[in-house]
Amino acid sequence: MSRTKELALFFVKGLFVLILALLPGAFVVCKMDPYLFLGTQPKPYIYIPNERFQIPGMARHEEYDTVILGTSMIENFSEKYASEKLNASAIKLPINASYITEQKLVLDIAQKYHDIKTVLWAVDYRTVDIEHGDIYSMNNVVFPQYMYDEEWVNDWKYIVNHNNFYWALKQYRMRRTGIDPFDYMVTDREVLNTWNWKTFSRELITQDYKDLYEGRKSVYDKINNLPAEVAKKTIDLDLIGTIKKYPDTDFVLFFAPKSILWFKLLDQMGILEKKLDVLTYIVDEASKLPNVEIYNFQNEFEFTENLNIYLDITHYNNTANKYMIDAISGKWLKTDPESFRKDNAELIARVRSEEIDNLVQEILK
Amino acid sequence: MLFNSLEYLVFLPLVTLAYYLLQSLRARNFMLLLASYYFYMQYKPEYGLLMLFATFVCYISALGISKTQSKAIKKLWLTFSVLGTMGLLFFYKYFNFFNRNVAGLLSFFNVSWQPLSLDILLPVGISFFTFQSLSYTIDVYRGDMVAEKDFFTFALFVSFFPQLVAGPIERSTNLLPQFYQHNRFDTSKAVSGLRLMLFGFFKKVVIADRLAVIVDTVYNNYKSYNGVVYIIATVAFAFQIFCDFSGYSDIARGSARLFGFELMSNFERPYYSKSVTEFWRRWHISLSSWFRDYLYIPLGGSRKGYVRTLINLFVVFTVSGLWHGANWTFVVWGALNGAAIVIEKILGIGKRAGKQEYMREQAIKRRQKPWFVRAAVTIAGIIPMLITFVFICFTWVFFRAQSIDQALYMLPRFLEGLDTFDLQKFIGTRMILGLDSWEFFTAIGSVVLLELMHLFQSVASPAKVLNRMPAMARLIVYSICLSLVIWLAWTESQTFIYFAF
Repeated sequence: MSRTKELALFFVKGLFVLILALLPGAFVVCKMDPYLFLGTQPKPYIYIPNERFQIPGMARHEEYDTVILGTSMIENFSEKYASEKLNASAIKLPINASYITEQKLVLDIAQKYHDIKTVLWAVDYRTVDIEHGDIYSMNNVVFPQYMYDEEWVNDWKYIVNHNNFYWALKQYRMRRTGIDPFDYMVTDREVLNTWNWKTFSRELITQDYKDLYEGRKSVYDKINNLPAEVAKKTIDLDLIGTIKKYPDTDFVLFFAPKSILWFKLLDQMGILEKKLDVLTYIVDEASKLPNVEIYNFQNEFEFTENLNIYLDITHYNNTANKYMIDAISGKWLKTDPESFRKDNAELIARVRSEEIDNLVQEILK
Repeated sequence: MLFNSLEYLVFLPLVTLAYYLLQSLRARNFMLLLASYYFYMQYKPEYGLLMLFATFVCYISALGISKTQSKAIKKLWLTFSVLGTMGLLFFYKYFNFFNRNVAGLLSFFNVSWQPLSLDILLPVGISFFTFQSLSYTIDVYRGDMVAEKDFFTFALFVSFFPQLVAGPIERSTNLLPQFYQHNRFDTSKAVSGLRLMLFGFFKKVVIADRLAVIVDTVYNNYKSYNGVVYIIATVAFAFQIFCDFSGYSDIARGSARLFGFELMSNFERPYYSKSVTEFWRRWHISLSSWFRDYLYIPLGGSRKGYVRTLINLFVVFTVSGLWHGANWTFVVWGALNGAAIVIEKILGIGKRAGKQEYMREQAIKRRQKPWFVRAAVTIAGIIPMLITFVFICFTWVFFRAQSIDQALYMLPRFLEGLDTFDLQKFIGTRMILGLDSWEFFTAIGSVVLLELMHLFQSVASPAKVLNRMPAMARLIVYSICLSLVIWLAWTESQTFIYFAF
């Protein structure tokens, strides 16, 4: 055999071995489709609460006409309640700790595959406090861009992926045994990513505040604190730009009721006014668009000062989510540039009031 | 750069391709040298300078030794080389440990001294490349090796990337001459190298990384467990460290074989040893033989009387413990192994079985005996094997524990609660020692598979069996093995344990 032929045969055999080795796992991934990415997963669907991987498939293959978009601030929404109140078929597509970049990618997928009537978008300072295009790397896990890019040539990264093979086998076992052996995957979208099983209490939020205030936890895990101009540029490109891209969809932007201790902490850091200035910019710019409504829940002190409904300094339980849906469906608490400025003045006054100072002193004792 | 990373799977074929595309030997070696430094400097660019320093010291020392006839000057050059390499090792690995212990000793005598503590990270693989380069100078000093004149070839010997970070610690007499061979790409060698790498990856990513979770769960929260769980975690560690380290060695040897180089074998199924002495002939062979040749023999070996031999053995093993890390746990681990070997020496256990011919005769005689006699002999052989394994596991407790206190806390509790242990409940839970049940049984199944392969290796040569198969069947076997590695790999890739030494 000639040398060239010998080498060619060596590489062909190597390729054959490689392809044959990849086939069984790839077949299992395609057949079980653990993240619903390919749309081949058998019904009823089984969901993995790993949002960065699970959400793009859901955005593609579920049936809906209304999207609830955002970070963990929207995880406790009840889709059934929202659908009933808004007279729609709603789906929530949260990505915890995400930036607006990731949320925009989710919306693009939803828009591509569905005729979206309404988007409820929980916007906050942290999600836009980034350079345009930044993506949050959660626990150093690389963001699976290939699941969002709609490029079929990149789909092999999903198919030839032993993490997905692992989840496929687990789902197979779950389907056969009929139980959730890992207390992790769920079959009911209504409970997916909710925290109804968690404890919410004054003790938890006050401890979180103390840890943040006294430096045991870093506030900068929650915000980047870039110059306001950077955030404003991101707002123009990613938020306002996206809304303009879909003129036939109604956008409901809302500012969630994070706790008063969160606002107090920001004030103690000297960045509360800057944050409110960025949010005001959003209200100013979005109000100019015909397909946008804006709701402000930051001044709902009966929620923000009821510390028993919080799990930590920002995360509330589903009573707050229900209230937000009620307000949006009833069109209360709509805001505009003028009323939002008034709200902000009121919020700052409240944060600096003697009552809140006393509350904080008591916590820090 | 880690072997178990995507980068390496791109890096290795590219370097192999470049190697064979280059025609001149000098260009090939220079390219390998650059690739090796690139490989190493991926951990931290500064590390490259340390390796360069060790290389330079040994290179000029060897040249100095070879250029003089004076014994005193030769000795001076050797001392320079020992001080240079061992000084580097001492500074980066033992400085803080030494200072802490001196301060502790002084405080015992009521002398207060604040130890100086350096905030430095241990450079990856420093124990390996310093030992390898030093062995070269000693070989030149002894006249076993001619001093290498070409600096780049010598630098390649010290830095050759497959075995740079965790061995095998190569001898200049074996590796250096191979850099002067003009290798042609040999498909059968390449297949055998890839096969070895595949086996190494199986051990590392399927077994070791999975077992690491069990071991870490128990050893990092040792006060929450006892009894059977300690036993499971320690046996798991025995297999984790074997699979991790021998997996690395296999990948290293397999990678080198792609270039046509042959590195020494580092492991010979050590858990099949019937004595601790035999275990050390089969475990980390390149280090054991390094200590034999460059410490045990210079100390006098077995030439200075019976008692001195025993002392030398004990000293060598204790020092080998310290080589593993700047912690008393490693010293105790080495000393325990040394003590066991001394006792075996006194009792006459663990002697080499004799020459090949004698072994073959014995095997023929055994085969002529009735099956029940053969079975009885086999079973009788398992008992010392089990005793050795239990002892080795006992020493692994010190090796894995973070401190002597931890080991001493755990050891008396190994037999606690054995009577009340509920196996059904233990394996019936969702999570078993940090792994979900599916993963836990995958780990056990993989260890069983490994041992079946080892048993197979003890009766036949897998390479020969594979070569006798029809081509298609052989390719299917390779595909199944590769499939196991790809699809059963533990999802969180981990670094190799011996990188820390």
